[in-house]
Amino acid sequence: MKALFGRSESLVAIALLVAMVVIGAINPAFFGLSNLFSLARSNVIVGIMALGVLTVMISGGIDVSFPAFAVAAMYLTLRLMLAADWQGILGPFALASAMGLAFGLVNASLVHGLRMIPLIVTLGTGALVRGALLGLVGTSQINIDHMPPGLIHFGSAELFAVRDASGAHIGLSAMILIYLALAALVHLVLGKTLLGRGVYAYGDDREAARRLGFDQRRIVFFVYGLAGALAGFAGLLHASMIWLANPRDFVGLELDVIAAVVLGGASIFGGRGSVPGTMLGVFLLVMISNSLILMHIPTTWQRVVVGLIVIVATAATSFRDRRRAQGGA
Amino acid sequence: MTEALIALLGVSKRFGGVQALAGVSLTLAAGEIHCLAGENGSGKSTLIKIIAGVESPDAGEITLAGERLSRLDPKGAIARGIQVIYQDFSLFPSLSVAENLALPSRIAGARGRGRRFGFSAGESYAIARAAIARLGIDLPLAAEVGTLATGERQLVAIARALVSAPRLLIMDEPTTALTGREIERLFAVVRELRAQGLSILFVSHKIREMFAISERITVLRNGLVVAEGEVAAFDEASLARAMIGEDLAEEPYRWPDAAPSVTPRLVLSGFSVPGEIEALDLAVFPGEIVGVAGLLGGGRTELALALFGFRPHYRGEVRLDGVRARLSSVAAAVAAGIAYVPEDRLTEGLFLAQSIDRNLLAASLARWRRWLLLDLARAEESAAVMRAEMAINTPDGARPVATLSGGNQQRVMIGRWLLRRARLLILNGPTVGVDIGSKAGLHRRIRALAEKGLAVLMISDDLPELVQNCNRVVMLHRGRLAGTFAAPALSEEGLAEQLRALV
Amino acid sequence: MAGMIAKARGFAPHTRGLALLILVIFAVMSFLVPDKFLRPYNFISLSFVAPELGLLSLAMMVTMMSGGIDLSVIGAANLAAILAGLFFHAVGGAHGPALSGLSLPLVAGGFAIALAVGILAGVLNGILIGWARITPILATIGSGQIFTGLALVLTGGPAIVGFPEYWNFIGNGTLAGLAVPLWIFLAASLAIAIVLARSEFGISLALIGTNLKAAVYAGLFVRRTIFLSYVGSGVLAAIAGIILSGRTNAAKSDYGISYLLQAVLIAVLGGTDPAGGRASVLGIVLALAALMLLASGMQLLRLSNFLVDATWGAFLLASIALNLWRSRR
Repeated sequence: MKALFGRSESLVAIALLVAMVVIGAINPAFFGLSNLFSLARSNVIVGIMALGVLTVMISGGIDVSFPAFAVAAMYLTLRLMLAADWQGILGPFALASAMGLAFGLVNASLVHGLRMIPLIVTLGTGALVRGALLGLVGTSQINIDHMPPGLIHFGSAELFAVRDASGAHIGLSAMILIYLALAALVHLVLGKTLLGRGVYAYGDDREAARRLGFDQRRIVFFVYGLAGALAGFAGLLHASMIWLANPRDFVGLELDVIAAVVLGGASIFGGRGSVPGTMLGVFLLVMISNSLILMHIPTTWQRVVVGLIVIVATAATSFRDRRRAQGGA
Repeated sequence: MTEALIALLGVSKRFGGVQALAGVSLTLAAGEIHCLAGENGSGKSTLIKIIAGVESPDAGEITLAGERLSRLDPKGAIARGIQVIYQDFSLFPSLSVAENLALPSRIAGARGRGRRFGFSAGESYAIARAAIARLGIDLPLAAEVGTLATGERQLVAIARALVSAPRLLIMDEPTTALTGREIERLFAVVRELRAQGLSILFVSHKIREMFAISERITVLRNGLVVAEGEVAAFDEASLARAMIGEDLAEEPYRWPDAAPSVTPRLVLSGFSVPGEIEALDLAVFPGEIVGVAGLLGGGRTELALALFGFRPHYRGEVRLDGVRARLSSVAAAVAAGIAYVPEDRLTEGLFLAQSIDRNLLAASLARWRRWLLLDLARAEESAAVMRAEMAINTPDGARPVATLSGGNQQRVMIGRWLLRRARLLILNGPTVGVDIGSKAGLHRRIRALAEKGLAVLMISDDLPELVQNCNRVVMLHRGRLAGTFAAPALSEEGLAEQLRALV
Repeated sequence: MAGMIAKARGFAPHTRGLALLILVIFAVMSFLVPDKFLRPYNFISLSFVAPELGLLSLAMMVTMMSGGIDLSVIGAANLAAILAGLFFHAVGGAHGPALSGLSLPLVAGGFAIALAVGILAGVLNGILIGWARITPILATIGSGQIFTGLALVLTGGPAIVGFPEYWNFIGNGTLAGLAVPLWIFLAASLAIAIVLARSEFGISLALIGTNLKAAVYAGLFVRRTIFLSYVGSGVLAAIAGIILSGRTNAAKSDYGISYLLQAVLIAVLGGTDPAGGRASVLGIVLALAALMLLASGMQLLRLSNFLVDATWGAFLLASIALNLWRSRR
């Protein structure tokens, strides 16, 4: 139990509770069902992408290309669905994930094969994919009238719904189940498989991993591939949830996602980070930026707040890692 | 002799300009404790890495249990029953002890079908318990390795090596960080493992240990096998001669006692660093070379780091040439005239990709400042003078320092501080990684500097080096002064005796 | 080994390669669109547009020297221009002759404000990276968000349009037949080249980037040097912001977002090692020339701007691969 208290997840959880109390005190509407349901829904896309970024960061890398991959997978899949009059759900999601996976594997082969710095690689692949999408495929949005109805139907599924005092419909999006399932899956893979534990070991000490015969290529391909696949999946899910596919979407989203992952206790130097921590980080970040209006702060402050969160969270993790290094030596 | 477990034939390896191994052959029988002996820089580490598959040889072949291989990779070596316990242990600090024990063997062994993907905590505990039971020790299996003490980490590293039931266990300088009692426990473990049928390649440069533990000895020097045979065929003198390559014929360093009027260069009184050094009193005079001996972690390097400004919260008093100094930062220590040449030259000392001259000038840039810019012409002139003075072997100063040999690189490190006009030079392992040929030259250089009035603190594992070059040796243990040996009474045996007595 | 010697002795092979690249691009574009590409107007307009990107690339290079990176340059540049613009609007009105005819001392005041923003931005990054020891990537992602966010808060979103004539001269004027921005860029390049090669700061920076630990053990002023490099980067960003707003007579919180990738690209293509220790101002100038010629040629070919972006991404990857291949040989 003492160990539980010292964990960084607990710290994020405490920060989350404090933030909830503060926001709720400023505006009790925060605890309204409609606000809570919409908050939960806002976690889904950022959260799914964060799972991939978390895995990359545990391995000691970083990925800033996934928003471009997400938008490319989403838009290409939808254009294909429209062109071929394809009305599936599983198929399109599999295709979008596969496209993201393919992009991610490109990152992996550049990072592993050419030993390139991940930030520069993913800056490059991100720009390449986004530029090619907008330049070669098109810039026009796919509106609700053209969106495949099956996807819209899927994206609007609700777990349950209630009516509030004024009779308005308040529903809890079923998409959070997908998020939770994916989170559980990534949690299991990271915690209970050789590959997952290998990712931690690799992020901890690459040279030691090499000496002990770890398959480094497999680890690098797994982390960047997973980040790409999750991004592709999240991209299409996003379109089906907002009934709109905008090829210029997700610009700058990498900052929010990285902020959330760092906030959740992951270290950019690798070896540290967990799915529960990341989920808490995502929740905290989404909650704070979504609650600015409730706190009577203009939404234009959102970026400032995200920036502050990144800095405070990294300062805290770097302080923690330094203390650990001193304590361990 | 029983059947050979592993045989190396004519293995060579070159790194840049350095021939690390030149046609080395080595044979190990099953169930023997074989000692690989040699000074630092003799090629031992490279040989280990080749057997472990981490480096591949340029030439030669390896025969492992009858199987001929031109090269190995780490996974292949592990799969064939080779395990190495590295000096740095190669553990994963973020993972638990149980996972550190279980994970590598599962990864290396994950070949067959079935549950190769999953990895449960229960399974890792089972593997870990079996491993530590074999060693007859107890370890906190759930603890993160990053939180363990050094001794415990070494046990984890040994236990991990045993998990995969190896046939050959290579131990790289395993006693460096251990006390006398811990060494005895380690030797008991090693004998027990041999009794279980393992072959052990025990890598060391400590002569007494080799006689205590091994059955056969192979001596490496300058990348060549210079002696090989049953342990009974050696005595301490012949083994030392084989390792060092020459009898210690040179006169040891002598220093006429300072006149009473001379101010000591360095005076420490009640010098303490919490958890590292306790109430140390020490005086070093100009012209003295004072050796610092002791176990790793016993306070040697800690003292050097504190004097170099890395422990701003020390207690007690430090005087340099009679003036009280506040060593609150590296800059303050450097300004007070203290210079430190770290043991790990490559990662802490040199700017490998930069030129020799830039490396020489790195600590004294401010000296050449004229207005806002540097007078580069004058700086390069001084660097050239220093290259000549330190006899650094290079046609010009614009070459990257990486092209120099270990001995010349060390001269660059010392020259850097002479350009800064250092008054107290702290050398940590001054000839680690320096080949025997240049070692004597480097020693002569250091002695000449001391004769001209420099005060030197020489930290070393290498007892002959200390005896040869120091007029006085202090031994540190658990942060305290555990003995002082002054010149006429200074001997290798005396130091070794004292080291063994440390608990 | 031969490669290492070449590295230490200068960048001759690298500059030769870049010069060749310029020639190839020049020849191909002259062949594809001879009438438009070879018009003097094309090169004159490039001499106005290129310098702001060049200054940002120099900023990137200076921070990469120590093994860091500054991802906040765009935010700092826009914030500097916006604050100066707000100052002008406050003293000269939102538009009209009072604004455009603002007196020289007042314009100088705006200049001082913009530079102060750059310095403060650099001070913030320098403190976060030098003292709080936050990873440069995350520190500057965070601070960049704060700068962009503050710019958004100050303007509410839309651009600030209308700057004094003296100010616009910095972006549009000519001096002795050459564009003022080009003069500024050349002066900055020369100054940085001298500082890097001949000052205590410059040589310390190269040493720190080569081996941080060794720099500490050599008694170099590591924190101060890293700190100053980010202040320098902030100042360069502010000057880029001044030129950009002077040239376009406007400032906005999201101007020049694609410059970030391009600045990284030019720095890397120009021979800067993103791992630190090695950089060449001449390389930056040549890389800038090559890529601006390429971009203008592509625009004259009526290729979409997105494709230009994608090409930048591809070039980034290719240039690192090339650098790596060269250094391994």
